[in-house]
Amino acid sequence: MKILPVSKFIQYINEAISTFSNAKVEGEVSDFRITRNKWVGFDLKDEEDEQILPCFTTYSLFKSMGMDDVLEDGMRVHVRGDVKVRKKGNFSMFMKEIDLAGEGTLKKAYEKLKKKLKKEGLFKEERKRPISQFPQNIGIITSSEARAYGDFLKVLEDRMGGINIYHIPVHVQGKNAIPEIVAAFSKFDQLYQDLDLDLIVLTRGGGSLEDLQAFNSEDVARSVFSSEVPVVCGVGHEDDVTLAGLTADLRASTPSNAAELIVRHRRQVLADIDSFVYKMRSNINNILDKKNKIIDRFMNKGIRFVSDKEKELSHLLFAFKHKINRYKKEIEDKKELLDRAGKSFISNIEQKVESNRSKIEQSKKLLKSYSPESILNRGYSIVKKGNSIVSNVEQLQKQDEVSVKMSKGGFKGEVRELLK
Amino acid sequence: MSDTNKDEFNFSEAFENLEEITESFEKDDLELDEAIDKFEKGLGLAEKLKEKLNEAENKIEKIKADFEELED
Repeated sequence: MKILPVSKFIQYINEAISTFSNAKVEGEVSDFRITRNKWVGFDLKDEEDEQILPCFTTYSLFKSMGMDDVLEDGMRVHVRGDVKVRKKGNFSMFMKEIDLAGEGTLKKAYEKLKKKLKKEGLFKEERKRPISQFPQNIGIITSSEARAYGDFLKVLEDRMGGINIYHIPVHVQGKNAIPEIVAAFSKFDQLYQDLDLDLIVLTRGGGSLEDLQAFNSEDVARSVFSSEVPVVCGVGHEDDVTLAGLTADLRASTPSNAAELIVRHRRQVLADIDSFVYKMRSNINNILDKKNKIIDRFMNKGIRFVSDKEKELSHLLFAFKHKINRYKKEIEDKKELLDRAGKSFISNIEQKVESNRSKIEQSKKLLKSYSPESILNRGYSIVKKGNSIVSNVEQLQKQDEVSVKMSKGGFKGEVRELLK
Repeated sequence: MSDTNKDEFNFSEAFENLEEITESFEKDDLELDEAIDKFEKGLGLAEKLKEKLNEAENKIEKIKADFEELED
């Protein structure tokens, strides 16, 4: 029989039990502790039995498993890792995987994490971003095989067409789910500008709390929170409120509901467009009516103005005519007066001329009657002594020779006697 | 990368435009010329939007995320 030194013996033992490194061990956490932020350890035990399995891991690994601030005494977990007899004969497991197990534990972990994230403000309403009314480019993170994916696509296509969908297939449960979902979000963060992404849909169908664990993990919640593009989360059934859902900009109750929330039905959109056109048309008709009324009012005013002016003008014209007629009449009168004056003047002159003529005639007649001839004719004679007419007997002397002129002829004589 | 995402017609913008135009009819005291211009623009948008709504299919493209380090 071969005698072995202790170290060799333990080495052989460790080699022999190394195959158990793939085993998953379930138990309840007790004496949980974090040492100097470097090491995490606890004892895993069955409920009734006294047996314990000392477990440990590094704090960084523990955090990457999403267990920080989650794990506590009394929780049930599945662990997997390297089992070894270490120095001082201590047998322990270096954990590479820790999964929460059982509804109670998951519920507890969920509540704990929810409280923490809420305190940090991840669920705040005011940080939620609006979702584009008509998303053209949608990123979707889900499993290709899941019914959720098919449901989502079907509802989407029933409602609206012409949308570009960019799908990053991921596991939605199991150990790869969390890192794959986180990686998918960072991929979309790199691509969102090139793809002109309007939103990202994170979806999976319903399941147990264990199935939905990835969507209740801190890492996924933080990826949703820090996504460059608004996130719509449609995970599980109506009652499943996951932490990813609480963090998302919009939470849908199911994958189908997510599709319903992010795209409007083309029928509704068509109805909206028709109602816009109807409103525009009726408004433009109103504007036309208004303008027509203004024009009518203006026309009426114009017509009234013109007719008022017309009346004024006709009054003026009438007055003007009246005045003109008066002037005309005055001129006429004046003319007549003048005519009459002229005529009377002429007739006066004629009369005067006539009367003068008759006066002259009379005078002539008178004058004629006074002429010596006419006196002679009446029987008178003119006695002359020499050339002088003798009108007085005094001018004569006896024997004076006198000539007597009669109407017809005359004679010469000698004064014989003076009759005094 | 697909080019389809860089579509020259932006449905959302066009719809919002149409909505704004419709609202502007109700708010503003529009001049007739302006109203007719807006109405024509609105009708054009409505036409294009309806055309776009008639597109039946959505396009799906698969993108691979960088999971290499996760495989084990």
